Amino acid sequence: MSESEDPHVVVTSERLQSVIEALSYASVDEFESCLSLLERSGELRDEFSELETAFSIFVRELGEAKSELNRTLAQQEAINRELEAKLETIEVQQAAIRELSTPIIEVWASVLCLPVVGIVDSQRSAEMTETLLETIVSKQARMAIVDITGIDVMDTKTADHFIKMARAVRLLGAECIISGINPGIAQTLTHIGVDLTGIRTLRSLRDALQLYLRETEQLVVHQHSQLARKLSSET
Amino acid sequence: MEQELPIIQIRNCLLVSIQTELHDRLALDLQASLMERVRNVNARGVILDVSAVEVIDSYITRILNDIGKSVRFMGAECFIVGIRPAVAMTLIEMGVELDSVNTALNLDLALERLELLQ
Repeated sequence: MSESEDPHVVVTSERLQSVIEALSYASVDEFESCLSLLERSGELRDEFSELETAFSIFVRELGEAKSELNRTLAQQEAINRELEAKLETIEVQQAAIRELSTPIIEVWASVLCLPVVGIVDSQRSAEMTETLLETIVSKQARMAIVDITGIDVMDTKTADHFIKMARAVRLLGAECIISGINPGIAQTLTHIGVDLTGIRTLRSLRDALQLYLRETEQLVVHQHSQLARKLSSET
Repeated sequence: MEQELPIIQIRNCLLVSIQTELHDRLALDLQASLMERVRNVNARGVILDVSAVEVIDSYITRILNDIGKSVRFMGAECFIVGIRPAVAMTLIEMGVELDSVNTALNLDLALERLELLQ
């Protein structure tokens, strides 16, 4: 019993060395080699072997926790990848929707038509205006017909967007006609007091086209009569 | 080095093709020399081509409106042609109006409309 009362524990430097080595294995995640080292030196039964057993339990727990963590991390990463792929799809679809939201049709020689369907917010209206203006310039169109038959309700902001669009078209030197205003929108526009001077509004796309054709016809007749007058004055 | 915009006469029209950025001094000089030329050659129309101008601010807009009004007082018509889409959008967003001048998509259409007006 005198030995057990001795407060000192005698350990050979070899065993100490092997424990240190085992711990250094553990520090670089080599849990298997660490455990085998600890168990080999723990074959002897004394006070120091208790410490070694404690170490080996700790290392085993640590190893399990670590592998659990790695598994969770891998799962998270997979989820993240999936989410990123989904976000990418959403972006592509948004671009597609944006493109679809501004279909510009050349309905007649130098007449463009922009049918508007759905909800118009400020971003969409800005994009519509930009696309319309650029198309007018690239095609040198004299007239743009904005057909809003597909819009049921219009608030102040949306109305303002359309008026701005029409003004911008006029600045380029083309004419902007808004067609297909339904009774509800007409009442809203009157109620909020939108200034529609200089912007022609017609019942339908058909009426707008007819107006254009009538005007070009008049232009041709006028030019012909001018030419005839010039010729007759020369002779 | 004083820069000056060339004013070209085609038949009874005056054409100014602005190929540089319009700054205030240049615009004011243009206004003065343009008025003089309108009187001298008895022009019926004035066409300003701004297709190369990337920035038109509110002051330039005012000068352009002034040119339009004065030209009209002298019995001619003023056309601004080739306003860029971006410039048009900016002007509308700023809420400035180019209401004293006519606008046309290109020089050809402006000449056509001037012919009709005579």
